[in-house]
Amino acid sequence: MARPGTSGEGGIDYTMAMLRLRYKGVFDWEGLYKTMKGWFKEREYDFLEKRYKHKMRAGGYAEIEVNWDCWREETEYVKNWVTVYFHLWDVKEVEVIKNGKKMTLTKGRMKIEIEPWVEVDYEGRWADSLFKRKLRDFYNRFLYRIEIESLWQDKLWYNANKLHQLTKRYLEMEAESEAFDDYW
Amino acid sequence: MGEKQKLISKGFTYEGIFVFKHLFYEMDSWLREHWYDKMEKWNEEQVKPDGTKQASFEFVPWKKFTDYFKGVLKIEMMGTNLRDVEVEQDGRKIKAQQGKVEVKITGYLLVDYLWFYGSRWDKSPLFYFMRDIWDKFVNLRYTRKYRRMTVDNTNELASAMMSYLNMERYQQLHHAARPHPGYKK
Repeated sequence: MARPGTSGEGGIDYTMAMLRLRYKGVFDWEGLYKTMKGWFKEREYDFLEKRYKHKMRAGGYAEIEVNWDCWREETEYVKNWVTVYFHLWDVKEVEVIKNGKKMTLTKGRMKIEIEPWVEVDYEGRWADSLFKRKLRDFYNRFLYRIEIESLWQDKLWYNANKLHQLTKRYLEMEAESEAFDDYW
Repeated sequence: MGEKQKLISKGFTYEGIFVFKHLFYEMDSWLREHWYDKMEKWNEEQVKPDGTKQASFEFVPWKKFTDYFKGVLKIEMMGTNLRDVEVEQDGRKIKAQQGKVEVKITGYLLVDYLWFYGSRWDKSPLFYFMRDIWDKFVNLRYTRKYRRMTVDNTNELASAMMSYLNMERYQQLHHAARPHPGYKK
């Protein structure tokens, strides 16, 4: 079954869990946006910003929603996806003095959801007929299962975790560590 | 999905001066050393107008013992009224936090979990019954072995975190819940 936003050719996706982050306080929204986007660029991910919604609310506060779809074709059969969703509430620009310098930062509440998943047969070469689909399912379940699980999913999972840690480090959150940063 | 058996729950509370990042690193590095896969379910932090912080997170790391048994540790931590302070340690000034932290670690054993296409023995009530008989009577030795491993891992992680917080001076406020009746050492 094709997920919305995939090639639509009949690929199968293997979704892993979602990484969630919530922060309330003062932060550099512009810097965070650029840092996270730069992370995908460094790793040669294709990047699509599906939605950037900025809504002004009463009292001068804004609400922002951003959806990112990023993908990278690992092989002719396997494609890695990372979707990122930002939702910010009560957003207001404030002037603060940080490290002796006056800066304009953002005050508000933020939720970030990072969802990595692996798509196989993204070109739909094995989706033409029922026989080919059954053959593909057999291959994925019994022959190629270990590679999908321990190679592609594991690698993508820990890379998504690195993005998660980078985000926490940028926001100067207390609950972050580099214990798993050297995986993959 | 398979059957999730709750085996043990351990909790403790600490109030005083500590380095939250180091406590988090202690937990993270323990999980890595014991070959647990990382799974951070959610992480939340609030900076209040008075400068104090509230940080909480939930980790659900797992370890696949076999393709049938999987150990899961649910770690919930909440730090409240965390205020940045400077303390001196070994002649150096370091940044620490003063506040209260509550930790709860729960150990689960997942049986017949197989990731991709769900449980193999949950298809019908008959299969479910056969799996239960197999786990409790035929395969009992292995079921007990992995239950013991999960309980031991929960205790070890809790001890590692408590010893980091130097719990000698503070009493454990929450006591461990009664272990699962199927667990025998």
